[in-house]
Amino acid sequence: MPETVVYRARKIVTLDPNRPEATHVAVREGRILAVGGPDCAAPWGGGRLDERFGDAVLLPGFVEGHGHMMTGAMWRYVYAGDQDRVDPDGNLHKGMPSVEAVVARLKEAAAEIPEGEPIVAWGFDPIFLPTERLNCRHLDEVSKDRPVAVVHSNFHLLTVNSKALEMAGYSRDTNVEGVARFSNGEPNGELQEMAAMFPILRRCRIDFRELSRREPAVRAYAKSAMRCGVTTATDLAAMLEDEDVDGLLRITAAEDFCLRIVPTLVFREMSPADFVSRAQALGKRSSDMLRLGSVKIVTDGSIQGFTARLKWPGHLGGQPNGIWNVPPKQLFEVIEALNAARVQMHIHTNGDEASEVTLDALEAALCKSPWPDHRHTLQHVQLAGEDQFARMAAMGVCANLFANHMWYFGDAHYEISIGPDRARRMDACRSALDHGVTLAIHSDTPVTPMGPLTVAWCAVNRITPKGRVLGEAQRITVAEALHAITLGPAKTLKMDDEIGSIETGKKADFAVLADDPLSVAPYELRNIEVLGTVSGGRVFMA
Amino acid sequence: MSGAFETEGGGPAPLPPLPVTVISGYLGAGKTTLVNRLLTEAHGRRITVLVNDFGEIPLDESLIVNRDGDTLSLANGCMCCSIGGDLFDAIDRILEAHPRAEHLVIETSGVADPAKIAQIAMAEPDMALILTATLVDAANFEAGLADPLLADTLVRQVRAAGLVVISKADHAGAEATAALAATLAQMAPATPRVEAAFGALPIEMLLDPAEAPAPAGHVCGPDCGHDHAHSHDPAQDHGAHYRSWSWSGAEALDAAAAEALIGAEDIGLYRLKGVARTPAGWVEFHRAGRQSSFRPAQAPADGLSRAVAIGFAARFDAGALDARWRALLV
Repeated sequence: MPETVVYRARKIVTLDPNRPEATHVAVREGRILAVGGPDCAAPWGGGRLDERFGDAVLLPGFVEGHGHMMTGAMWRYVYAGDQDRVDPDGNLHKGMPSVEAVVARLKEAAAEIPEGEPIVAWGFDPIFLPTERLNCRHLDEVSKDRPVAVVHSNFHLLTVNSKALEMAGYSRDTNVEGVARFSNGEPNGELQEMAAMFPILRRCRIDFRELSRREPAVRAYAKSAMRCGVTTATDLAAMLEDEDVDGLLRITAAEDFCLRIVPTLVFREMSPADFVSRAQALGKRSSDMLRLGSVKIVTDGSIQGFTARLKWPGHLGGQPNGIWNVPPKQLFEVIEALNAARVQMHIHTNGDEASEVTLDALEAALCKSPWPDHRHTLQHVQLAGEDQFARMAAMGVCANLFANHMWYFGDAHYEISIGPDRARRMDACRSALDHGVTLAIHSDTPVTPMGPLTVAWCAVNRITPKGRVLGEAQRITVAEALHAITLGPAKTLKMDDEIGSIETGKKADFAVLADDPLSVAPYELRNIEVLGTVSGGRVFMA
Repeated sequence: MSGAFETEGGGPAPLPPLPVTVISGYLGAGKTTLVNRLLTEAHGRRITVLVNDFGEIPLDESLIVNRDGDTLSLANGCMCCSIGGDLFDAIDRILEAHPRAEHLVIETSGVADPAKIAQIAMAEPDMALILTATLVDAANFEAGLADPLLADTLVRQVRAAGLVVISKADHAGAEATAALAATLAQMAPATPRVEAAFGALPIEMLLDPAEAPAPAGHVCGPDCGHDHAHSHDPAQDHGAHYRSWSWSGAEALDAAAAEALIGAEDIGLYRLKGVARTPAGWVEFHRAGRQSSFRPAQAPADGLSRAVAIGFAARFDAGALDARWRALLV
């Protein structure tokens, strides 16, 4: 008979309304056999007691409903952010509080990087540094004869040294948008947006997408997830070529692999019928640890990048409205085709106009081809108002809100992009729940760092770095936030029958925490230490 | 190897930049038809076309000699590549291909801002932007402008263009086409327009018109001064609509003044290209429609500066250009 292990914990927060708390959980064949007290496994013939979690608190393994595998590719390069960050192997990288500190770190790193290779850093964010803006003169101190390139945390900016500028042919005579300059007209090393960045990235062979398709990135993604308690994560915009799927099936099946991955096939301009058949073919290749078959559609851009499609009154500074990634007409066609073929969709909509058009398209598709439990999910859906949540509820559309924006971009939204009124009601978790919409909250890693307890902290507190409370009326409780990082996203992935709570029959997927989120002060939520995870009954400690 | 980042060295001579044309336009404007023509007509060039999805192009199967994932190779040396996951990856593949194409045409998605795509070709030293052409569907453009979800996208595409191609004028009829021409004139007053009735756009207009004979189509400049509501017979000789100008010499040019002249909007230039010596070194320059570029270049073997230009007869004053050009000599 297969072994039964009974784990004792200081406390088990189950998210199961029938037994919200427990002290013991019995695990057999990677699944939860029983939950309760010391004798919970007794009706099943008992089990071996394991006390390693005796001082810890167990929660259902967290579910990252909107992340990207690219997260795993970044650590190949030097970290240059202002915040402390832990790499997938558990090493702490201290945040750098000044440009001088960044330069010193790059000098150290340059000594270790082989001659002939560029010196590349990532995670830099000038808005958090009080000093002079990073420029090529600073980076020339790192090297004069090798290219030095610092990728900013938003991936839309790159600062490089003079050698890299020379390789790209950038000079005072360059007439290219996005090549920033000193007051004397010479390029200062800062390059804005992909067009201006491309000549450097190409010559230094920096390609994050390509890196993220390789095994080290997949493994790093899983380890990073484990360190923040995540046992199931999406890769929410994947190309999924056949060889990518072969690789993912092999890597995720390994005994030491700790993450269930849900990659969604991203839509690009192609015939809806071809896209539907690709999604359906992928669905047939799912395994226990790799869940395929759902798709992603990106309708607009980002609010902080001024590329989201907004309703009136638009951007605070009068910038033009954002961009469509899919023509509205084609959006109607592809949504109709996918819905008719019973392919579940995750649809990126940041601006309220994008959400509205998408809801119109979903309504038309669902009228033509009713699907009672489709769980089509709007992703980000940051500016949805009461009216749009009411429509989502009526249609059974789920919402995965980008609650991390409160902390990472909240002040910028309030002051620069959309102004106070809409900044206060963005990522409206309270409204979603009050309307009965299935709610998940996410990090969009690597846009913001993966960390469900931090996302939950944002949704509960709605505090910005400048100390604003952005929309007190939209705060949710800690219990609601825990639901929105476990069962909520599990529902948006149609996996709530398998994961998302600790109850008999589900996967033995747990987050192992040093403290109880329901007992600490709500403001301390993000400071709770994550000790590791249990994935399908296998223990992985940070 | 320490020489990895040396900019000069013993390797083969660097290839000249790959000329790039960006083709933009909303759904149904005729981009796919145009791409099909670029791939299959007897223009004698190895063109690579980058498209979102080549499944949409009604290519004659007998012309295809090879299929390899994202790339179709045709018997005439042309290739059609699908963008796949990432535009930048696709461009990199094309720049690294052996042999490299002679011209790259990028077909943008129906809602893309072509200015953003054109910026890539302007920034990358291995590419040279020739032209952004925006196709406008004469039968449906005005309806699109009336749609608040679409209007700004369409206007952006027209404003980014160096040349506006009015397609399907034969479907729309003379009256609607004339009204559209007026709308476009207001939207982008300095941008030349060409009516490509019956798909008859001379493709040299999109590739490198300064080297081509006067094309057999009719180009309406902003001050063309005639009734635009007539239909165009592609067989009719419209060579008289063009004037050209050329210059070569050993003198150096004043760089700043030359750059200003190449971008000038008051001499009716459509296309200009050349290479010239300046006190700070050699430069190459291009102009197509409203778009121009000016950047450092290798010296030509004969050490001579040269420039060639073409414009619409009704508008282009070759004499004025000649006088202003000579004023640049230092």
